[in-house]
Amino acid sequence: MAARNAGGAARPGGPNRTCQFKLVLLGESAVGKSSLVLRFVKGQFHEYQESTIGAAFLTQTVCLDDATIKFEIWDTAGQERYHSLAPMYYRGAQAAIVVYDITNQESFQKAKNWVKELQRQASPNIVMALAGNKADVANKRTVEYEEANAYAEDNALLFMETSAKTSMNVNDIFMAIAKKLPIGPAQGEPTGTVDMNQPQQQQKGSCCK
Amino acid sequence: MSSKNPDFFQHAYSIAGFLHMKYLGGALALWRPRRRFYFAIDEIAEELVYYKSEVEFCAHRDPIGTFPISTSVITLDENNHLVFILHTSGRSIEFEADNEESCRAWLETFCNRYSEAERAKYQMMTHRKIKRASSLPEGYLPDEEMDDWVTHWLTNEKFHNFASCTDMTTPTSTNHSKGDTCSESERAESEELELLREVTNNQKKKIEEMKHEMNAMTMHIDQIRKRADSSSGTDRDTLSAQNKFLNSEILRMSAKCEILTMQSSGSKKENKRLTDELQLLRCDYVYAIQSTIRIPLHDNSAMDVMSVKLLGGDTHKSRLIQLMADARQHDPSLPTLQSLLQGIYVDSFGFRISFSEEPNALHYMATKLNHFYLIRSKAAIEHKHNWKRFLEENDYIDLTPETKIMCRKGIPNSLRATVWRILINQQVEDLKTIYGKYYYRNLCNIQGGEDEKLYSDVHQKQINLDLLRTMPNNVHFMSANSKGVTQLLQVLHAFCLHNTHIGYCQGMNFLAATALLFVGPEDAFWFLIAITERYFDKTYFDSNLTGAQADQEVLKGLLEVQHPKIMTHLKSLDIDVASFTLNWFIALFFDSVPFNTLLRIWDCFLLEGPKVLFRFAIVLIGKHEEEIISRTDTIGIMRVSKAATKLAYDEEAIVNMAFRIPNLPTRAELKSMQQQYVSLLKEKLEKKTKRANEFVKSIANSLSNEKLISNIFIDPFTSNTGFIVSGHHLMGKIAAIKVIKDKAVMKDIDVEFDCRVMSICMVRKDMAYNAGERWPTSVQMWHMPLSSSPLTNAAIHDDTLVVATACKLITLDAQSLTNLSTTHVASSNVGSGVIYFDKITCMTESTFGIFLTTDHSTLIQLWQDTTCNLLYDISFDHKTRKPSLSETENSSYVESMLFNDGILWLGTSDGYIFIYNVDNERGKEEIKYKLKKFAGEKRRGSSRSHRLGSLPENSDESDDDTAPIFCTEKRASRVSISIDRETQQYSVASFQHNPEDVDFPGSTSSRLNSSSSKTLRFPMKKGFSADSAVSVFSSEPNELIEKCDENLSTLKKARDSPRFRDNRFFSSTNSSTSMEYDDTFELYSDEERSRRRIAITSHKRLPHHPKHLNLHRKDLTFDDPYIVPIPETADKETSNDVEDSAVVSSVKLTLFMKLKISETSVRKIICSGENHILTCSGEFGADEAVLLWRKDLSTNLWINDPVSHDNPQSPTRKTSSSTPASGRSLSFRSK
Repeated sequence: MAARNAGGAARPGGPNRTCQFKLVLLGESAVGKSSLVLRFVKGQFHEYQESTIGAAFLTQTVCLDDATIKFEIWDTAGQERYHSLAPMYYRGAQAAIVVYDITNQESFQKAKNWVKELQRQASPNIVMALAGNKADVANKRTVEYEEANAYAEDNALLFMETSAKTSMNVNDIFMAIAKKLPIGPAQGEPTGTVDMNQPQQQQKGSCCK
Repeated sequence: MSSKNPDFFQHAYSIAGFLHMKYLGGALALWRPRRRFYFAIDEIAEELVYYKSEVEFCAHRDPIGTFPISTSVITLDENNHLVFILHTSGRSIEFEADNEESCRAWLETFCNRYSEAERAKYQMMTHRKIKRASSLPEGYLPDEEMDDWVTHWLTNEKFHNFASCTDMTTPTSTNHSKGDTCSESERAESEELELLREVTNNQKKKIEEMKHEMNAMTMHIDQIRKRADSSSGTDRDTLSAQNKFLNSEILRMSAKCEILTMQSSGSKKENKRLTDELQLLRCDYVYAIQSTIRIPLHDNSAMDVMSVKLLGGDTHKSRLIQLMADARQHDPSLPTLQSLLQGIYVDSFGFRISFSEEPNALHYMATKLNHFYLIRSKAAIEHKHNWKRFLEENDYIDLTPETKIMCRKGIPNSLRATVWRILINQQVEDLKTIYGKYYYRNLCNIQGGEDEKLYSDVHQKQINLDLLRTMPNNVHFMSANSKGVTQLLQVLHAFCLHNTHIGYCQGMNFLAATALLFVGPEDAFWFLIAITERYFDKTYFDSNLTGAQADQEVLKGLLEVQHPKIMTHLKSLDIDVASFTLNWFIALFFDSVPFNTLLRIWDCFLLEGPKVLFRFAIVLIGKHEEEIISRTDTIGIMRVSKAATKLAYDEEAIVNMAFRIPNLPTRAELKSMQQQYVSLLKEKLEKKTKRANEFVKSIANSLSNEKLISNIFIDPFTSNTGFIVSGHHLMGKIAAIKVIKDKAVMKDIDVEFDCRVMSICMVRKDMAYNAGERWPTSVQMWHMPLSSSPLTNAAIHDDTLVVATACKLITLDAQSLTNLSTTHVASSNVGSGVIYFDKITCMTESTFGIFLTTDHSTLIQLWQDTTCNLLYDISFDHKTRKPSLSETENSSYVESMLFNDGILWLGTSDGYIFIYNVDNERGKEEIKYKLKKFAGEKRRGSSRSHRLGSLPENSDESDDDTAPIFCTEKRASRVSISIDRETQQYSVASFQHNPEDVDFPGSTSSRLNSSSSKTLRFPMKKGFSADSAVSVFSSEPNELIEKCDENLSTLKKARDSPRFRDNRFFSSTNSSTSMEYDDTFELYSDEERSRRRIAITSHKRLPHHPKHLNLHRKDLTFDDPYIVPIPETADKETSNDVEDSAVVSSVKLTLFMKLKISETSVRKIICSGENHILTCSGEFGADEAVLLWRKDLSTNLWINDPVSHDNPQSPTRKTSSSTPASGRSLSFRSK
């Protein structure tokens, strides 16, 4: 519970905009997507996290110097069968974390496919991060840090090895994304006012560069 | 009560026989005849009944009449010892027995009537069809005297009733109300045995006692007789008087007794009413507590979907604890507050329930208590009884209105396993006969075989991953050794073998596990089959979940009708209902609703099928209509809809609502709708499997008419011809643009790509480089993969082709496409010690080097070779020393840029054009940035750049799309491609590289025309990724332009004046008529403009040195450092990895003009010849999307005209060989 508020307490006073961003987690089954979210949002960890069907939604707020970022987190099901639903979930997402399991080379390949898909089909300006989860069992590692880092670099991805169990880098990766996200009234409309055009703009952006 | 339930409470007759009866009292008493009937005493009903004959009695006919005997008394007639008189409910009836024996027996039976408590016991026993006479306990008769009298009377009889047994010990379970609970019957049996034993023992004892007593009595009687004999005569009178007195006393007592009984029965009724009411209140109280659960209103409470607030301090807490303590006496399986908070409570299904917050725990207790009370309610007991009787009578549960009602009311917990088993098995009955009795067992024991291999290849891994992730909070599924887990594995394994087509789909684990909580593995296995083959069809869990997705479409249709408001609201927010309803269908609401509600839904589902799911889905969404509509943010609505299901504790109300939804389509209609959607989805999803991930196409299709311009480029050789590239991720199109004097026309070219074209640059008149996202298939001449990420930009710089991909600038030799260098240019520090590499958004080649900017950035970088010469932030205007963007604009960033003739054009994301003069003056005070160099070792291991001419051993991966390439030596090779316009064929020539023999742009053509020295064909190396590639294709600009020329001359006549040609636009701000953005127009001083042309500082070409050609090795060693520009002010932390170097700019940027031209971002700025600039923004085909800028020589200002577009609807042919559409179709669109 200690690491519950990732960004520390909100700074009292000062110009503080609240921006809301949609973040989607993708990756193979059982790599720890839900666990990362649970750690980030609730500071909890369960060794056996119930498998996600469809998608789960959570929110968490982080505070930056100049803005408050509210993450709207869409946690998706990993099984290949649910793949065809993924566009429904990542549509209009401004950020994505592609998760793989450092003890599972296959999951890394799958992560690459996700990156590729997002590059093509998600909004062009999506901020992507690559998370190599289960860093606590590094002794069973099959995906080398260098390999993943090089890949991330090649694709302009934010990259960290994380552990939902030890909470290593969990908040950091979300914070790093928060810092990367363009903060401005055009992007994250504070809740309360509806901009009817906004989703459509996102939609346009999602398939046209 | 007894007459209401003849099955429940049978008659028990203690004595039966013939008697003469006569009513006493009244004037006509003497005249009434004495009649003979067959009488019997019903001990249960406490009635004396009579029949005409014994036959009728035995036939259980209705009796002629009855006399209540519960409050009756009996007096004797001293004159006739065969007569006794029954006084009951205000009447007296005289009975005469046939003989003394009979009379005695009757009297004895009357005497031995049961007490109230005894009767309750008796009822229970008679329920088990046992008849027994039993004696009256002591103290029943109200008077001592009476007792004496009875004793007397008894002693007078020498004969003891054989049936007379002792007083039974009354049971202690008075706490139980009569109809208490299910275990009664089982308990009754053992109790009865106990009782019988006790009774026998007591009887024996009593008999012993009686014998003693009898002896004493006999002695006593003898004495009395002696005395009576001695005092005969007078005594008879006194005895008679005494008898009379006693008789009258009895009658008086009986009257009193009757009143008391009435009173007590009244108070009993009252008592019962109050108890019922109390129970009801308790039930309502806990229900009220249960209803306090709310969806938290504050968005800050992101933690949980539920919150419970109980006002009134600890009142409710202590009350609930008290109630729970009471309830736990009856059902020790109920939780206590402590057990819930400590997390040690396990509910009856095996779920470990724990709460960290007390109110939530109290809420759970209230929910539990509510169930506890409801189960014990009369209606629930009756319902359960109905189910029991139904199951006794039926082996099948057909779909009838009666069974529907019974299932909708919920299957009692104790019967659920039985009923589910029946429901499941009757669904798959036909399959069972096909597959045989031992099908499941056989599947479990299968070893080897194809199916088994398929299982181990495809499903085993996923199942193993999910086993322990299924109900991890349930004791049956907690560890790998748990019985539930092994059974689950068995069931899922068997299912995968049974249905190889579907196999294992996440969600089945929950279905099977829930089933396993109630039925055995075999039934759970058949349950999965029933789900996949009976309730749903085979498409439901297929590789795309087609059926489940189709159901979402059906649901959306239903919701449109049922809750149009919600749907409109969701649509306006672009929320797809399916994103939260899909798992309701796939996992049958598992983990979406509280478990008890889940069971109720399943009860209905198992009988009635999938329509039920729609009903519940509609109710769960509709229930919270107000909350949903009040939210205007996506996540808020997601939370509400999630909470709406999570808080669905009120199962009774939900079930009621679900089955009262009006205007639902019939089952058949739903089925046909599903089928339609399934075939529709299938069609779409099949396409998708052909071309990866095409589910998005449904979205893309709706946008297919929107062809956002992604790029524009101008042929540097003719300088007045260019191409506009537009399209989306599935289609790229190119249109030609021709600039003649101050006008320009566009025309579609019959070239279409199946991917987005990112960038094009011309090499020669008839050749262009095209950087695409994917392998272009339609106009593919030649291409080479460079990186795994998309190429965002390309530019020709001197004789090198500079390609931007992700955060790298890759320099290629323009002729040979040999990789010369890779520079990591764009990066920024985002903290946490993580270097984030930004994608390059745009770049432009200039005499100073390459200008570029990265994603979401206002920072312009100027790179030459591998050095950064300038970092300039456009958000701050250094000349005026104020921010050049207003507060509202500071979210914008540079989207496009162009360097032309000493002027840098910038287009921003919010539609502004910035024009800068570029100077080589040393700007001293503008140095604002430092470069941080991070050590190169950090990136060791990256070898991602691809070069032409890979070795054959690397190219084992053959591809249909492979383009032939030439390769000579790895180190020094140069490949040229020439295209024969007539034959539409290209030939590729390769040259041995010679450092001295460097080609310059001017001499290229001559070299290319020379015959090829070596030609080798190798399949293209796909390598790391073939996704991003540079392609070369041929175009025929001259031909096209010729045609354009022809038309332009004719069209010129038709056109009077171009729209935006008016000089007023630039000269003043007040006379604007058609200017939308003139208020944002800014003009900068002339003084700055005079210094546009500058000398180029030390610009040298990259030498074609072997060292550079070996860059694939350089990538391996990675000695080039990370460079991170950091504003000096923000530079606080220093790292060991960091080496600072200030950028001393030799170039100065001066803002010259700023103008808003569009609402959308300025995608591209391009030079189209001397003093002509083209800008593009927005959609291809839209008015003013493409603007042609020219310099007004009189004012020295830039003015713009929109470029119109002809035949936007013309179909495009996909063949590249065909000539462009005939010039006749060229026309200006009328405005």
